[in-house]
Amino acid sequence: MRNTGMMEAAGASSRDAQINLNGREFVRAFAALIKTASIYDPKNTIFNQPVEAVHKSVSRLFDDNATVTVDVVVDEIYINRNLIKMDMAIFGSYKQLGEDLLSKNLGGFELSANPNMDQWKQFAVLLARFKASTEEGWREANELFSRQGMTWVTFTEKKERLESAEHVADVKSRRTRALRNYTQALSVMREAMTHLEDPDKIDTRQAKRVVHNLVDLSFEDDDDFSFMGLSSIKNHDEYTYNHMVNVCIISIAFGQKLGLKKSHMGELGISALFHDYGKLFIPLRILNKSTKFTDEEWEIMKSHPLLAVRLLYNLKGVSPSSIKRLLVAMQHHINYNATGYPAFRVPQKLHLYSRIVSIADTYDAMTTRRCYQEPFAPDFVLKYLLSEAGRKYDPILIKAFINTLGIWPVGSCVELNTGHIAVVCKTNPRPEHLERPYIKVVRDRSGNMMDPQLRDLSHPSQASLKIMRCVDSEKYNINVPHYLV
Amino acid sequence: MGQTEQQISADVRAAKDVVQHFVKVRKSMRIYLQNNEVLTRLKQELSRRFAAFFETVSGPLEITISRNDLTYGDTVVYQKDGTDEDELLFQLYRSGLRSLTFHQGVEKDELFKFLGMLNQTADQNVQDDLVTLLWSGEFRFIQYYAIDDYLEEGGAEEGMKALEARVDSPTPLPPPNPEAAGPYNEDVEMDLSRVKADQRLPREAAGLSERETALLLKEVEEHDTAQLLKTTVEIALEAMVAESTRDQENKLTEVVIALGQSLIDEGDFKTAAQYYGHIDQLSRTEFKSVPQVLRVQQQIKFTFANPAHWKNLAGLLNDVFTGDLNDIPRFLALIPDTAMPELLNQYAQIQSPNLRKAFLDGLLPHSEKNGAALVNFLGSAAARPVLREVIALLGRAEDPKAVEMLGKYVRDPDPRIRREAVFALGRGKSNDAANLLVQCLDDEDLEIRTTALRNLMSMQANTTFPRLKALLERSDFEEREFQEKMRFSLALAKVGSWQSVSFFAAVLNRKSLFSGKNDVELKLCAVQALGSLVSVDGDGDQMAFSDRTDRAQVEQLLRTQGNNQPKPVREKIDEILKSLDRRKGSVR
Ligand SMILES: [Fe+2]
Ligand SMILES: [Fe+2]
Repeated sequence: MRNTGMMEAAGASSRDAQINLNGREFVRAFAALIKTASIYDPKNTIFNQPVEAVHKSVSRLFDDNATVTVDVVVDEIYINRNLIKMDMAIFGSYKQLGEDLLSKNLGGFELSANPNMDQWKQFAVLLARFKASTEEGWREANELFSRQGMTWVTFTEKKERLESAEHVADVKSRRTRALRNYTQALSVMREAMTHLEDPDKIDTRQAKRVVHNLVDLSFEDDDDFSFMGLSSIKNHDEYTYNHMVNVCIISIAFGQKLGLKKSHMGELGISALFHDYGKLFIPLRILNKSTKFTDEEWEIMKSHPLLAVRLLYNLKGVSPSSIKRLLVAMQHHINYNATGYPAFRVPQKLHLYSRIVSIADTYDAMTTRRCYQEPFAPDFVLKYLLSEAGRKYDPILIKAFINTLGIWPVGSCVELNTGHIAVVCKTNPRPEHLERPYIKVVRDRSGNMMDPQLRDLSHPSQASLKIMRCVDSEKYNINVPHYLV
Repeated sequence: MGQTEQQISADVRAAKDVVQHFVKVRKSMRIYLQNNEVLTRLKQELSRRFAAFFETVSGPLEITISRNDLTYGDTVVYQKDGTDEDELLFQLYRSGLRSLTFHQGVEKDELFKFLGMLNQTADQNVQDDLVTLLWSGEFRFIQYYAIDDYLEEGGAEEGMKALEARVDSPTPLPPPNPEAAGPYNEDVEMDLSRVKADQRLPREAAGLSERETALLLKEVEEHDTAQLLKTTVEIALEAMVAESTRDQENKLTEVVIALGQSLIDEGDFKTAAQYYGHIDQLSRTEFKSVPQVLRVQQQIKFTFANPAHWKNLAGLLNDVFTGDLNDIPRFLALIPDTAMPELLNQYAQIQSPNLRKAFLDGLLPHSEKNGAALVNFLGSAAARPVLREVIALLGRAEDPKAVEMLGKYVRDPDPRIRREAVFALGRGKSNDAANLLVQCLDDEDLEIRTTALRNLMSMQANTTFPRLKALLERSDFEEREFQEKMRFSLALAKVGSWQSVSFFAAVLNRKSLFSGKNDVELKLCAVQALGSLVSVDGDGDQMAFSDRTDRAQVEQLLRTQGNNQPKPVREKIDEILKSLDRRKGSVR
């Protein structure tokens, strides 16, 4: 019935996002229930709300599966063998639930049916009080729980890794999908350019679809795919459009790290995509100039945020989300300390999205080549951002941004203690291992190309490897996006 | 086999039940506004049918959408009917939706939100299509599947190829033309002087404290529409000053007005009032005497002053308003007086008594300059159901015609109307109003007489004393109830002060052949009134000399009444004198 590859692709992408959404809901609800059970008497009415939340989220999980499995693998939680992504919003529940189960020597559990609310309460109370006396806590628990008549649950042993569920979409098709999304984003922006005289004609629905697809894609981030890595695609000749798309991608990845709701990530993404909209009204002779600006030209350039007000001419577009889009376009060059441009009569309260995009904007602009200037290395740009934290940029967001990209930022080339050269592909999702990212070793000591394998530097088997310093990708003739996308 | 067939048809029947009702609700939503009762019932029914489906079927309800029909499993459950372009099927298909799945447990909230989205996107000329809305809705029980191949139009393949080529190569591609100048559009100002380039990024650079995380998360969840709009208007005004042409200025003016209008249309009167209030404030502070901003304000005023602009205000209040009742008068204060005739028409159409009352409060200040409009409205058929409430506004009007109209109402045979009218007269200040109130002192209705008296007292008109005195001197006055006689006597003492002494003395000195009940009552009233004059609190020394003399005279008058008076009157006099003596004692 679902015939074309394109259709399949779109379906898969939103399915992943859905699984993650339902799983998150469960983690949050279940952690709250266990916490309640460990504090309150079972007769307390305070149980009603968390029990109901758990029951509901599990019933939703049963819709797509005959059984529901919860696995804690080291410090990751899998539901129905899908890794549930941890972000700042879910961090507390996630950690608490994982540590709680492991401390009882349980590796997780499997539900064969969704128990009713009373049973859930009973289950939670029993689980909260349960303490393992041996390494094999799961055996003890199974005995205890089945004695209580709870035959619908089976606890499982602790494990070091999980044979992951079959990939929803194969890696190749996802790569194609990612590149297609990128192309679509470019063409939406190019299309917007053709309607400068009449901004009413810009089809924001298309732009939204594109951004939504990108947000969905960001949930598919896994060992074989780095969403943030998409932003390493640079195009010297079409800087304006590529830049807009890259800022959009970086902002979405950033938003995901912050734990933004999916719909907010969509808003942020679209705001980021249009952040330099005002530039489209700057004369090309200035925009495409190959030497440094004169003062007068710089003044004209500086008018681009204000020119974005023309987004508003689009009368049908007045809604909270389109207002945020306008705010970002207006405010992205106003600094945290109120310097920057343009200068407003009324001091502006910078919107969160504006402060995020301002960071993403600088990051992409500086890591991109200019005709007069070599690109800055990603780690240098992070150091630059840090040096301006509290001055130009929101210091809390800068910390969060470094969390998103890692101490050795995604997309940088690094030299290892063995003399090999590697590309940093992904931030380590465990905050304590922020300095040990996922890398691909791409050149040997003598600069020969190597078959790249993804390595998790926080894994014990990689303990001997150390990152020494960042190096220039050009010098080693490395096309970074090749290894990230 | 037979069993299975039966089972299948029960499934299909349940699915059809849901889908067909869905279509019905969809149609009704275009006819009725969102708070409408019929629509609410239809929506409840839909939710009930969903429940019925999930009682019959254990799986989800998955509907496949094609150009001409909706299918459940292999069975068509809905077919395109006719050519109506707005119909459900067309809307779903056009937006790229190819299937919709409702999972067991789907709640009213999600269902109604979904219906709302259908309504929102019925008009093709909006910023969202159904799919983008569904995506943002983050539904937990409604899943969809959509195609987006229209994004592929126009040169996408080449673009895709170029991009793949760029990514496929393990080594960097040389720029297509290294000689050509690439676009240089630096807009980021950089100061590299503080960068510690040779140091490693410290671990703490990423160390977010719990408090910091919580701060960020709080901000993420926050949505303050009023603040957003305020900032937008600041930006729009700023841009307006920067934009060079009048055409651009007009466009922005339109936007500024439309922003507020969209709030009004949503029934969010509170935010709307804040929004326009903010513009007003800006024009007096940061944007003081900026011509563009003054023009915006004029434009707003012009729009609001037009009665036709408010034709649907009652509809909004009846159907979409959910705010606080206090928002209504605050909002009405923004509207210029000239729109009053329409506001009155709208008032008559508001259904809920609470809303009407709040609206009436908001109309009061507009009534001052709108006597003629009120009189006109009251004369119209539309006013009949709300006549009594609107009469209350007449009192506030400064127009003599309004008092004239009230004069008509105080003679109305319906005492309820007279009551409103006499109440309204209390808000006026003119002599005409006072004259009417005096007339009302003779009304057959006690409540009206009492209200009239109270209103007269508060008006402090200098004609009140002689008129009131004339009334008390009338021979029929003594026929009234004791309490009322007392009230009127005390009132006369109050407005007349020492001037009234001679009147009360005359009452006391009246010789009557028999001390009938009325005679005794009148004298008791006179004593009490005189008592009220002398028992006024206050330090004797600070009192004006003339007052002291007057007081002594009244005291003397009371003391000399002695045996002339009937017993109850004597007792009353004694009581007053005693309390006077007590007070004098305590002052010494
Ligand atoms: Fe910019
Ligand atoms: Fe930019």
